[in-house]
Amino acid sequence: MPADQHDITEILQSWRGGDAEAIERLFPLVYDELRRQAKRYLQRERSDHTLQPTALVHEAYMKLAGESALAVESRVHFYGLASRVMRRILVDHARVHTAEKRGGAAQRYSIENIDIIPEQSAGDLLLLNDALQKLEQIDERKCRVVDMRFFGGLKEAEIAEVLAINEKTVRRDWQFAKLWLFRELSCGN
Amino acid sequence: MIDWQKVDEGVAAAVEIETVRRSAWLDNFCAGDHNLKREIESLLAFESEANGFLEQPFGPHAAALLESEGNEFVGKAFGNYDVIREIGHGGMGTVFLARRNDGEFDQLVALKIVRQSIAESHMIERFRHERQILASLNHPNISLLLDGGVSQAGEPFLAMEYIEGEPITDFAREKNCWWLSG
Repeated sequence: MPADQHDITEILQSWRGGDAEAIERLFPLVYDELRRQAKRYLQRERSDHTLQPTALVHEAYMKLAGESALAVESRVHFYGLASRVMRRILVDHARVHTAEKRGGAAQRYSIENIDIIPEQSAGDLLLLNDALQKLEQIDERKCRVVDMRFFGGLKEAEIAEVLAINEKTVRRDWQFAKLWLFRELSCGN
Repeated sequence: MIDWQKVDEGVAAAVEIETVRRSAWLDNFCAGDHNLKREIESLLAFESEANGFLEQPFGPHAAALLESEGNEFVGKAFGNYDVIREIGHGGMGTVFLARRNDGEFDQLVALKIVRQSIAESHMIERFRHERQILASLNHPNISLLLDGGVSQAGEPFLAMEYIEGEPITDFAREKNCWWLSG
């Protein structure tokens, strides 16, 4: 159920007031808003089939935060959260998608070889998500870096700000996460 | 139990070291901890392969994934065609990319379907009329009508030649067509 602007402003205020948990309460709101934005975006940009996560996240932010005019640092934190939400949305979609494909209706035809069908992406994404969840157990921050860079399209400087680390550490986390995830996906199964 | 802090440190430092000198460096770094060395080496083994991995944000895939979802027609059959994904939609119906499913030959088509909810008698009449007009048109600049029919649920559809390109509105906007200005 979409919350009204009042709820959102309140959450954002307590978040600004130092309540770190408040941002978690934003999760479902951001989820709904990002989905709405994605839908609109896809209808508008249908011709080239690209979807810029950063643009989506930005629009969701504008919509949700609206006039409450957050400080720049809060905005960056919002982007950090939105990256995680983005992964969740895509994973949820991929689950539904692969489940449908396994269902009766899909048996009638075989289209695995058409690359415009995101069959492959859906399967890959679910595997990547499993691997990310394992990585999160080992090192949560590295998982956040992947969320922000890969799912949120954030820049190194922005990621550094969200995580309060320097850019060099972001690069190092990224490098490690890539190696770890690649190994997990190559050998993990 | 592996000390991930150490693995992290070791990997970060080792990638800066020439490959030929790594093993010796690692021996020193791991100080006899074979598990640690094995772990670091097994990660470093993927260094070149993992180079481009995840470097492109998920954007374009996300679009394809989100787009294939939530559409009741995707995956369904209309006559001899299976709907793959939506291409666009207008007032009367939606156009999908579809593929011939009878195995006679392989063909991608643009499938236009009138939604059942708006497939009332006059709409169906208009759609049939459009289909009839299209059937009589034969021009290289007009996509060819290939087939038509009615789905089991009663939705009329037509299959047209599938042509890759940009929407005419985008094309016109780019060319600054007078009828779009102002």
